[in-house]
Amino acid sequence: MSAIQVQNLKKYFGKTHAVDDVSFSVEKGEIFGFLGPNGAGKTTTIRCLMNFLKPTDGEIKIFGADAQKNSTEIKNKIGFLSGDVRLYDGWTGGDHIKFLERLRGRKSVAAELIPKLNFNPKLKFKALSSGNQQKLGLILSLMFEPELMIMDEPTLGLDPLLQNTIYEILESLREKGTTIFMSSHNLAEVDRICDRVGIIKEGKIVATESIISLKEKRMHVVKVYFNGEFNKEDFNFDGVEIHQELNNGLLIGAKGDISPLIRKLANYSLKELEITHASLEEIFLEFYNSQEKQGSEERKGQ
Amino acid sequence: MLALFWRTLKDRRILLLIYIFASIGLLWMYIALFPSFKDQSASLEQLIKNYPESFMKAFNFDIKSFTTLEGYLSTEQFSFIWPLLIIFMSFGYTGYALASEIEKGTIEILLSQPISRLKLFFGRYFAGLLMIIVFTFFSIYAAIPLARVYNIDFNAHNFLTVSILSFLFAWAIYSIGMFFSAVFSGIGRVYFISGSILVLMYVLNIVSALRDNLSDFKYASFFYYFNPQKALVYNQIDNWSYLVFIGVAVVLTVLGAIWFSRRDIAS
Repeated sequence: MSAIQVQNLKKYFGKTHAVDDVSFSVEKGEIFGFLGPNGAGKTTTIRCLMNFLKPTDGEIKIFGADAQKNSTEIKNKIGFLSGDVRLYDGWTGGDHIKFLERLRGRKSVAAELIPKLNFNPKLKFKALSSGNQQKLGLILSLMFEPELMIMDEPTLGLDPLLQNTIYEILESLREKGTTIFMSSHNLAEVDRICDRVGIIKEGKIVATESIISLKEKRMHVVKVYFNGEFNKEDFNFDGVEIHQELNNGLLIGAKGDISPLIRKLANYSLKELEITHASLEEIFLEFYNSQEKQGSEERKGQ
Repeated sequence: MLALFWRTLKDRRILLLIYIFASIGLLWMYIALFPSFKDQSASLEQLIKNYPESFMKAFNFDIKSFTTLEGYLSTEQFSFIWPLLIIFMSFGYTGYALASEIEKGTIEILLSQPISRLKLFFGRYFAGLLMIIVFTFFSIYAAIPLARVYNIDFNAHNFLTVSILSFLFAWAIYSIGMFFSAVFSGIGRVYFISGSILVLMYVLNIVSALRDNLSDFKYASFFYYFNPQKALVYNQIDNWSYLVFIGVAVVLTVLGAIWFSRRDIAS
């Protein structure tokens, strides 16, 4: 049984198709990154998972139960953290913690989390810095030791130190077997902590890949300078693209297996050769560009 | 639900006390003035005889308005000041109860907890309703010890009758506010629409009393069914008042709860 199973999820706001036929699943114990730029449909999907928004169509199951019909029971197992934590200005952190403990009718592990995050629970929410507000949000989402964490851009606007603390907490949660679903547009953080990613664009899932397979598809950037003349047509084949002509050299992008390109280069006397891995960001953009190309070709075909 | 109920009461207790003290303060002022008012009742009787009947009807004036404490309070306090206080208090609370939470985004912390939306709605609903009951009790029954202080005769039973009528009136108004708070995501809209409805009702009641051909408009106004003079002076409440106030309160409460549990909530 998957922790999250989303089937053909649609959420329309009038003519706006915020989420359009999205399907994916998140397995128990994995950290799933939900990637996409602003406005892609990440937050809408999360709000449907949390039953803040009612889907126009489709099905969401969390631990096998319907996320709409069994929303109340499911939330016993969920911790939710928004990137923009909004709580009660006049309450202290301690007030928030006590309130949630009374609401759920059980004690929490907040007392353990507070020193770990170096948080002062006596200050009112309005007196906290944005970083400390996020810390409080994190404590509130973790204090009942959820089986599933749903996080909407949890490190948005945080300083690198606090980001790092959050990554460490997420990694320790993974070790305990907690499933984590987090949206992000920060590719570096996804690269660091996620096992799998779903890439969403304009309300549609573009790809769902494991980070490893995403990296296997990794592009290489090859910068080469030749000793003498060269024929750039030799480097015009599948999986290889000339990005830029340099002074007696080329800047080449290579997707997947780099061996054919190396064999071609071996036919020349090279002055300088530099091969670097493309970043996850470039891979992400590649997904986006290929989708756009596909879209424009489809439009031309019509 | 109880945690939300008590926390809401705790957060709003200062505001509730302010309303209660304001209301008691006004009541005190009117009761303190009553003996001197009563002394001039003969000349006032002469004066109000010259007023048009429709004017007297529109503003709930009566000859007893100046000769008995009940009549005087029903005219001075309960026909205008008290309804105004309860309207401000009810709409102030209802705007905060749901719409403001959605507008500010604080609703997310509540919605992410294992508590159904119905419990969330009714947790807030009953906390507000209890505040209305407390306000109604203190703002009306404070008249009894104050009357004793100034040695003024009163009929205690009639204060119970006006308390019942006032509570029903307040409950209906409160339910209008809660309904719109469940429907809208912004506090401004809740205030505007709920306030507009009440202003319209007030105008309809005045206009219906002043113009014979518009007299049927009074049936669309809460202020027609809310007759504190009849309750406080004559110890009577019309059956229609029960029916309208309870009917509106129950229907809007049920609709509000259903709407809130089914709607999209995004701040």
